[in-house]
Amino acid sequence: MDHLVMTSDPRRLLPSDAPVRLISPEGEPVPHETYRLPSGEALLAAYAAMTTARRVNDQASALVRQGRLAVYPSSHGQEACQVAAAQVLTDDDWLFPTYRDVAAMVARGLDPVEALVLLQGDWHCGHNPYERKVAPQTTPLATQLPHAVGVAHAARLKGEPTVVMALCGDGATSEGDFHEALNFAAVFQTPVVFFVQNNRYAISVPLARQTAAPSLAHKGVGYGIPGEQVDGNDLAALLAVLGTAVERARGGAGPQLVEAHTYRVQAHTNADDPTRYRDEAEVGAWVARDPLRRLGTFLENRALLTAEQAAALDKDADDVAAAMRAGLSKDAEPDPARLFAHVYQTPTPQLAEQAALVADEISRMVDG
Amino acid sequence: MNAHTFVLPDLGEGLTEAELVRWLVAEGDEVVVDQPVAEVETAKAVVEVPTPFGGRVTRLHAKAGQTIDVGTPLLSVEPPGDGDVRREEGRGGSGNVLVGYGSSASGGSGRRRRPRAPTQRAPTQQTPARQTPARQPPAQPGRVPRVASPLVRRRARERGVDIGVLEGTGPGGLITGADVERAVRGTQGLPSMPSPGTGERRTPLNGFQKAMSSALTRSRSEIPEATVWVDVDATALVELRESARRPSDPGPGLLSYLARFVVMALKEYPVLNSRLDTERQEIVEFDRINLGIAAQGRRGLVVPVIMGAESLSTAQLDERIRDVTRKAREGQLAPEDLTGGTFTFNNYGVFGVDGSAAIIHHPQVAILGLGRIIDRPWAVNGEIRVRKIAQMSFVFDHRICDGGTAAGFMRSVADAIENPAGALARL
Repeated sequence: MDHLVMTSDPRRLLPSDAPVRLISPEGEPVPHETYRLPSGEALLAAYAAMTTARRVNDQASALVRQGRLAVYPSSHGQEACQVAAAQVLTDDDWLFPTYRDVAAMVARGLDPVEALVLLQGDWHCGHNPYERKVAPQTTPLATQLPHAVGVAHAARLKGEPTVVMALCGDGATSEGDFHEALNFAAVFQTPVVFFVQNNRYAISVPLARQTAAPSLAHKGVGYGIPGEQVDGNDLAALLAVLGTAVERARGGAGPQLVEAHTYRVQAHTNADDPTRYRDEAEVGAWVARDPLRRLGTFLENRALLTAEQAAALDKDADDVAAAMRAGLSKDAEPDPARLFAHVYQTPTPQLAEQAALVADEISRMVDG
Repeated sequence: MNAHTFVLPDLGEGLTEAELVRWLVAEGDEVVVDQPVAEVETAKAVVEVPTPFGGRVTRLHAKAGQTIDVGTPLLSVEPPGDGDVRREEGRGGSGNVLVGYGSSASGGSGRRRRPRAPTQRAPTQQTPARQTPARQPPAQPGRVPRVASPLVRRRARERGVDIGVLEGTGPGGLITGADVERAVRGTQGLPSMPSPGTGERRTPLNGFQKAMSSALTRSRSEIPEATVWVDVDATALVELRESARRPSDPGPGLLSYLARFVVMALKEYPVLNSRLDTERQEIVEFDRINLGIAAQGRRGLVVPVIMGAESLSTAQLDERIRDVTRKAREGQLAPEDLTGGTFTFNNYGVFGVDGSAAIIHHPQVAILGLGRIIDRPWAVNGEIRVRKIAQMSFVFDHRICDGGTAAGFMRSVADAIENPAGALARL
């Protein structure tokens, strides 16, 4: 019966057999039949952003151990994904980050101090989401994905050229929200790129306990969404694959699922001890595939990055780090009443009741 | 120039303390911003702590092995003249070098976390001091306090308020922070809490007090206890004790006879020399009787344990009791002298009191107490006589036996006291 015949050719939806790679871990170019190496200019700009991203990660990790941030989930080692996710977008596009994507938000143009306000412990996300079209970071896994699809669907209905980059990790692919978001996006052909940074651990849960699928990118076929997998430590490949996916979505071809194979080099957060569930040898192998060094070697070998330029980039990163230390030197002092102020435009009776209860509690506390 | 002091931050979302594993710098060293200065171990992980200040280290505020509270000083740094010092390249800097604390170049084994020595973490984390037990009835078993907020629970814990007995004034009887505060004011009989720092002195609990606090709180919150008591005529026993006194040898003390009778009665009622395994819902009776005896120590009352009391004669018990009471007075009791008890005999009469609703020493299941022995007018065979009378109390875990068993046990001890000659037949 005709109505039972699916419209998509499943073979067209399958990802490449191996993750797309354009630069080897040693910094040498790798030819690919589908994807082309981005221009030297684009790669240098990406390298500059990645230098900053690395410094933002490490400064934030220091700040959390100095009591200046409540928590910091570092994307150290995943900076290529962070930078590529931001750099393939135009000013019309939206970025929906997770809690581990501060570096992507900074690459999108946010002030690092503003990007870290949430993790400092304040009640708000620190930035105006509409200004740079960066949604607030979400702590629950995958809840941002249906939101991202909603924004993309709205843009499509309004005839706007917006593409939404929806980020999540490997752990989030087991959540119901992931399923709902991909299904809705596929059925309504919304312009979303689902970008999964598979860093191999959901806190302590390894990928092998997360999924039995051939790859996370293969999950797309079940929804009718094309999947692709890419070397997550190869910034050139990420720019090529994500750039293609964004342009495809903008052209009306619907959503795409991209899985980047990368690694969470550091602890889940400062409250985690990764030595309890994985070997240092495993970590060491991934440190050797560091995305920053890989692209740096490639650029240096082609004289696209001079020692002076590299020093200047380090100096810029120093300035960013100093600004972070200065800007985050004071504790956030959130007013509990503000918690209720922005949930609904018109507060529900229940919320008003809760707000009154909190206000009453505070007023009756002798020592505040 | 004023030194900056770096206080220990909460290193893992809600931690209150950390153990200093080792210093990575020494006093007098020059440090740069973000240089790791100490390795600390929290309940969650070993973490290298970077200094937020550059300059010369003027003071390390703790020693390796010490547990430091979050919010207390870690180290002081005197800043250099011109702002913060940056780390030089080549010193393992925090710039573009690929070292993270999760996988730092410690060169150690895969597992950096070491088991903590048992003495370094007193078992008091879950149940800090309960400061006002006397004024509050114990929580009713089965009644779940209506508390939604962890903040309210914490406040109650810190204030020493048992939320199990609070009446909530929030919606649906919810216990609020204000209810906790009201309970604190109520127990103190004060119109309001005094502001901290005026007219009060704070003394942190020492490790022993913390452990006691934990055991007592656990007892009162877990054990549905019941108490029985009886007046005992100890005239015959006192006479027996005096008859054994010689100029060269004072003979066994009263306490030794009493201990012997307790051991005898425990053999008759072994269920009282046990513990309750709540997980498996089993009563675990012990072959050995390790008898705890309350004694006056240097820093307060202690309960040293006479191990293996089931096989000791009255004279042997006397020797052991004299030994531990002397050690208690001289502050020489080792931790092992104070642990491992299976039953406690509380001779509170030596403090001049008649009765006590004692607290069972969890995980034991009962505690026997004897008040002071004093001359009282007493009816004997229809005549008023002056006799040596004491009140005996027995507190037991009602889950492991009924009141009949408890009364039988206490009566057995009481009968032996009143008729020591008759008890000989049962020894």
